[in-house]
Amino acid sequence: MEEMVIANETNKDNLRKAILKNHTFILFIILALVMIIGSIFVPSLVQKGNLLNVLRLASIVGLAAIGSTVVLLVGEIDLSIGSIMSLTLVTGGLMVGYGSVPALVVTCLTGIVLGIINGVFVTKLKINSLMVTLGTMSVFGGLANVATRGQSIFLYDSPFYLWLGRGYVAGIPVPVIIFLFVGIVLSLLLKFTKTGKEIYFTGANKRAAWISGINTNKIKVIAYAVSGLTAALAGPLLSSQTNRITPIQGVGFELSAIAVAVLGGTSLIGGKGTIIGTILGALTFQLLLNILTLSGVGTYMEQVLKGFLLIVIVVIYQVIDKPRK
Amino acid sequence: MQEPLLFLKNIHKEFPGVKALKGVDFTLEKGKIVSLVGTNGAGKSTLSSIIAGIYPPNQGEIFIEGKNVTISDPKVAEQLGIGIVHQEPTLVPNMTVVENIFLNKEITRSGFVLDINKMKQESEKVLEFLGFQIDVDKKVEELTLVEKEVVVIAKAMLLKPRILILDEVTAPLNKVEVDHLFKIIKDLKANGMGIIFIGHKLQEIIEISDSIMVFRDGKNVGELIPTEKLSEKEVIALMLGVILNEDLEAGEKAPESEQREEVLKLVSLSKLGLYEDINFTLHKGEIVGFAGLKGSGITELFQSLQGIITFDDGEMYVKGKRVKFKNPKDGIESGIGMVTNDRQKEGLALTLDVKENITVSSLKYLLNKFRLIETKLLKHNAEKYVQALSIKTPSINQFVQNLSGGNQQKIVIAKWLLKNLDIILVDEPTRGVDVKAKNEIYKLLINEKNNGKSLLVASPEIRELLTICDKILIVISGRIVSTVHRNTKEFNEEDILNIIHSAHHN
Repeated sequence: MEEMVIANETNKDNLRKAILKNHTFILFIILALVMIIGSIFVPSLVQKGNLLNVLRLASIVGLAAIGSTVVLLVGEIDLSIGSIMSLTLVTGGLMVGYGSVPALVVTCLTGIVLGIINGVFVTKLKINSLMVTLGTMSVFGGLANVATRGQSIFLYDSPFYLWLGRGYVAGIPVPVIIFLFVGIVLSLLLKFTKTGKEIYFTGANKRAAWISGINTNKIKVIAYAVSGLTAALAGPLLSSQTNRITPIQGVGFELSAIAVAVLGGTSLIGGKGTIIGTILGALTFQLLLNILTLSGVGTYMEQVLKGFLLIVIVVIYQVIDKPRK
Repeated sequence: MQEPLLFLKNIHKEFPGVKALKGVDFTLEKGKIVSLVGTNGAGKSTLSSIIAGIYPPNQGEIFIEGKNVTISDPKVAEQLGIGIVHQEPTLVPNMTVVENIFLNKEITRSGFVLDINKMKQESEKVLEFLGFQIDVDKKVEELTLVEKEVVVIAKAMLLKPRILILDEVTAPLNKVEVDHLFKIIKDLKANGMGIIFIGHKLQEIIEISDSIMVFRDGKNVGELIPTEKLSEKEVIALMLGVILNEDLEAGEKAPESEQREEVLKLVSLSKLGLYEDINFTLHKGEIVGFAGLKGSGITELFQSLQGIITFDDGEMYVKGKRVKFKNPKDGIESGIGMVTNDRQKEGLALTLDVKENITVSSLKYLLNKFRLIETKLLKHNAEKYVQALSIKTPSINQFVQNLSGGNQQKIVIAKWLLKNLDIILVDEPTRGVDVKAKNEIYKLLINEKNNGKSLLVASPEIRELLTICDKILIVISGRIVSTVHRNTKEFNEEDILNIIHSAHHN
């Protein structure tokens, strides 16, 4: 019996190490499995039109998830991105009359500013980021409603916005191109810049990072700014699916973004995670949602799926990540 | 003949890639203290883990009072009367003493309601038995380090163990605290308990043990009985399998160092409640030691010098320029960095690898012309320091949490050396570090001194300071009471201890 216990222990350790090392590969496998098994139950899954649509929607949530990843890497959380999406969308939307491109620029800049506000509150107020961004989620969301007095803005006059969300370039949906572009750029920045390395170190051990000379406050503000920017960027893409901007566009979106980031292997404690993981997470997540929709389970299952996924993933990663002893 | 309390026969233990124990026999009698010594990886922790039920052996038998037992998990170990106390007090800081002692072992009335009075009574009984007065309603975070250790021991004592394993419990304590703890251990021994003591400070081990079991390379290479004549050298020789030359060439340039360039000057530096009126000067190529009991304010003084905390009054000059650091980054820019006494919480990112930890403070210098990280350069620098400091790691991509204490400590030092700081502050340089690595770290620090760096070293081990420092400042309750220079007759452990104790009682 003793021999058996040892064998199990060794195998478990090896398995754990293998998973940690080949993280991305495993995510690929999971994605492939979901696709294959899904197509058995719902054959329409793999139709070209449907897949393109899945890609499009995955890119939108994935874009925001990239921002969430960066904030999680730093050891914090941003619950306000749904509201940032709403508010930046509305600010930009009100400017559409002055031209679509300037409106988009305003949207993005507002996203950065709101992100910086989050970052400053989190670093200066000494309240944990869960509470702070819960607060800003309320404030920003409320402001969005105030600005539009609860009404929607229609996008008939902006072919650019419609193209952003629904257009194609060389057969590829525009959101996918934007998503991959942002993903690659951020991935390179994280890996090859001083700031990127400082982000990882701050998330891994904030105090040691600080004593080692990293300006951890600055790093956190930067992370929140990125989060705000990606949320802002995802907004127009999402709203052009429905041809209008509503002040509650982003409600619930933060949970999707965080679920995707965590699904892609980003740790909720900080210091661990990759952009490629998040990209794969977004694809897997959207595919799962799509299977639910196509199989007639209903779009309201999305919320249930999100919550369920989050719990399952966190538990799995807890088990895998537990250090020996 | 009476059966021994604990007898392990021919124990083998293998982990993936390494044979930790290769046929070890071990005996523990009632009312005796056996110490396990050996360098890291020699097998002593593995053996004690097997006894505590943390994992089973691959081969071998265990007998308790003659009866063959299988210790399949820690709960079984507890039931068999085996208790273990670890180095870092595993207590919940914001819970009270009684809550901690009874954590997971709460006494209930009819299985539901907590019987708080009974728990308090039992806690007080145990603490009294250990000879300690601690308010059981006090929150653990308010206790001193010794009191925390006592609470952890009380926890282990709850189940009335007949075998107690003490794993590195004296690492964070100074001499006075250790004496206190030893008195408790001797009382337990007198009551018939068998005690297994694991530690690195050989002096203590020789003092407390009835016998010393030396591990090397997974084998029991000898049992030494501490008589009048047993010296540390003998124990170390057995541990390393070599004859050790303990005399390091330190501070032969000491008299001259005071004529060298001044790198740090403190004038009447004070911080309310921590230290007061600190005056001293540090020169290039000098190692200055700080000795004192816990609570002497030395750690806080060092922290103030890098900017981890700020001082209240007084003046600080670095190379003649007046400074006051508000954060650690400023301290680093002026050439000062601290190796703190808690490398895991303050010195390293355990989940990152060796190269990331060594280079974290020097990223600015590893950028190419596009302000991007030159990975080759980063790796090269990390390799350079791993070699130079003899850091034992399979590669620079190894996660730091997998390395031993001594190697982790070297990585923190490497981080500052790569940054090329002028002044390095080291608080407890060899805490939780084995003998071999200890010597390597001493050589390291002396080497840097010879390269023109200046070091401040704080340590509860006077011997350590005597080995490497040019002079030692004695600090009591935040004030410098005395300075002892190398090559003077007071530069020895007994005299320095006397100064500390007499100053403390005044």
